[in-house]
Amino acid sequence: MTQLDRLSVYHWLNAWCIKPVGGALVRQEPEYILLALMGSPLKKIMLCSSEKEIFSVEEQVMVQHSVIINNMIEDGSYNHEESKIPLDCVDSKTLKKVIDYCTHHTHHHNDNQEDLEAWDAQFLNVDSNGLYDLLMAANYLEIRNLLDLIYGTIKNMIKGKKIDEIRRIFNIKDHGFTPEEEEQNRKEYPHFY
Amino acid sequence: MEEASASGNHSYSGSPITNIAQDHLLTILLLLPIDAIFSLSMTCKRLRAITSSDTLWKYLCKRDLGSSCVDALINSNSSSSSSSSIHNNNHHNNHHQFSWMRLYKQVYKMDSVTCHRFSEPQHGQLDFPSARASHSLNFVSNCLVLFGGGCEGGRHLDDTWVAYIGNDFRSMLRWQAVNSTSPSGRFGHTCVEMGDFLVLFGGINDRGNRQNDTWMGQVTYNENHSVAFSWKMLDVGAVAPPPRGAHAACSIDDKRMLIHGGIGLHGLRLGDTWVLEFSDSRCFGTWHQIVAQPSPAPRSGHTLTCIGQSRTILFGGRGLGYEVLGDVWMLDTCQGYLKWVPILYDLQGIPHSVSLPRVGHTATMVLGGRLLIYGGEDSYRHRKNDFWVLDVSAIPCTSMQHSTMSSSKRVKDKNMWKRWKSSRFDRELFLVELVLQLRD
Repeated sequence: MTQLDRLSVYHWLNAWCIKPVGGALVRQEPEYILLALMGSPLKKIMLCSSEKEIFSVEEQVMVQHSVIINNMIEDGSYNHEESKIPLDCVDSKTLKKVIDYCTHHTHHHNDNQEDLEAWDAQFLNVDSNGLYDLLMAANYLEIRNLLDLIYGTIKNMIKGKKIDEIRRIFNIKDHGFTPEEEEQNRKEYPHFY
Repeated sequence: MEEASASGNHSYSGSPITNIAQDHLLTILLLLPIDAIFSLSMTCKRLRAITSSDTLWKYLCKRDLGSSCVDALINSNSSSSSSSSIHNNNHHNNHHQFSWMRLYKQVYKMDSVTCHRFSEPQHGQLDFPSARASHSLNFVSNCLVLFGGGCEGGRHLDDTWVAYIGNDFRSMLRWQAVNSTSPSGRFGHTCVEMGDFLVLFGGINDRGNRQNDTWMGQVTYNENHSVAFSWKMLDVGAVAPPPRGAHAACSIDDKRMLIHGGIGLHGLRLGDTWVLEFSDSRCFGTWHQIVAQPSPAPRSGHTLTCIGQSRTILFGGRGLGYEVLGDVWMLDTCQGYLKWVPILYDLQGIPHSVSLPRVGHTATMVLGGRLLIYGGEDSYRHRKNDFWVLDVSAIPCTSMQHSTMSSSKRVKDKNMWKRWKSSRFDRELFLVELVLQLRD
């Protein structure tokens, strides 16, 4: 079976696999069905960070989450035996975290919502520089659910906060307003500061 | 202005958030409530520029006022601005004369209504419904539909009237009596619009019998453009709410109708909540009761209104001890289960607040997810003729997910209740129009 066929079968199986509801149905991991059908080992792919560090990760994990990587593999520009995917926009620290996210969500998608949300919360417990790096990486790799998660986190960092607090959280040292403008704003809307 | 900067490049000039590319920022801004956007606009110069983008405000208008409203505004504006060609230097928004930000502010600063009385035919010329109270009046399929009610001497009525008005509210009202099987005579029933249908439930007849039958009504247009209306009783199976009148009802989505309370058998005020769910074909429906604690106290003459985004507001009414109520409750219907949350507010900060509690009033959803409340009577049995607007989004934290034990929302913001000015309001049939200025 060619590589392309295998991928199509994987997607088809993924679409048809049923989530457990009240413990009544059991989801069959597409990878294991594939194994059973074809008896080949799970394929791994190589991702290369901007610092030239290589990360080996299950193909299916990245393909499920990253549109960019999925496209690269589908159009055959990635050769398993010798290629690695260069990601010059992502440093090692961030790439490791992204791989972490994708792996956890693939292997734990059967978990209940609360557990997943708790894991996501501690995953994103990083400083705003780290958050920014993750945002750029998720955008570049087109990982929709990670992007939405980060948007939600940033939104929560802003919502309900006073202006001085927002400036502190996001390290805005120079607001760029003239002293007169700033004073005017503070006088007119004191409860926002 | 920015390229997506490389992650790992730690030479940020201060803060990453101001370096985030515009489209990320816009996505985040669209997740935020207006007061947060306002805060951001005063945080730094770059954010001030981004939050002034009219494109952002167009999306905010779509989000908070609804796409249909925004599309209607764009269409009506482009058709009436033929004189703008000289000043048309606006490439992406043809004939765009108003700013979306200004429109948004106008909608939320709106504070007055004008009332237009429908012109009536001369007496004797055309049929006209007789005077009545506790009837139902709905606007569905471009027509006004009137049913039942009580007349002088406490007798019930069972006539149905329909009048086509379309979008032209200035034309003369021509009522047509409807000759078809109709529900039995009653008053204090509810009639709710669900798409092209009307759903009638309950009511009391002049022998004091409470009803619990459900009827569906529909406007039909004949070939000669005349208008007709027909009623059909809905098959609901064995389970139905106990009979009642003077309850509250509203549709919560295109498949479900909610009812609460009312006066049941032996004159006892009820406090139960029921949902009627329709089949896809609308040929039958199923009632089931919602049991939730806490729950609004038993009452009659109150209102239920859906304000969009799966939220329904209950207000006012008369309770078990005949006291007139002014409490507000919200039902969130998008989760798997339905849950009532009391919305507590401080009467202190609201001018004229003593006139808030009422029974027998009307509550309609208006632009921006707000509730326009009119009329009714207070605890002194005075008839009210003031307009109030209830803005539930003025509550600081409306995160339904976190409602646990302390499931009430206390309002600190005095903007939740606002009394509106009105003009020219006497009696009979009026169209209430919100005053909105798009141009200077």
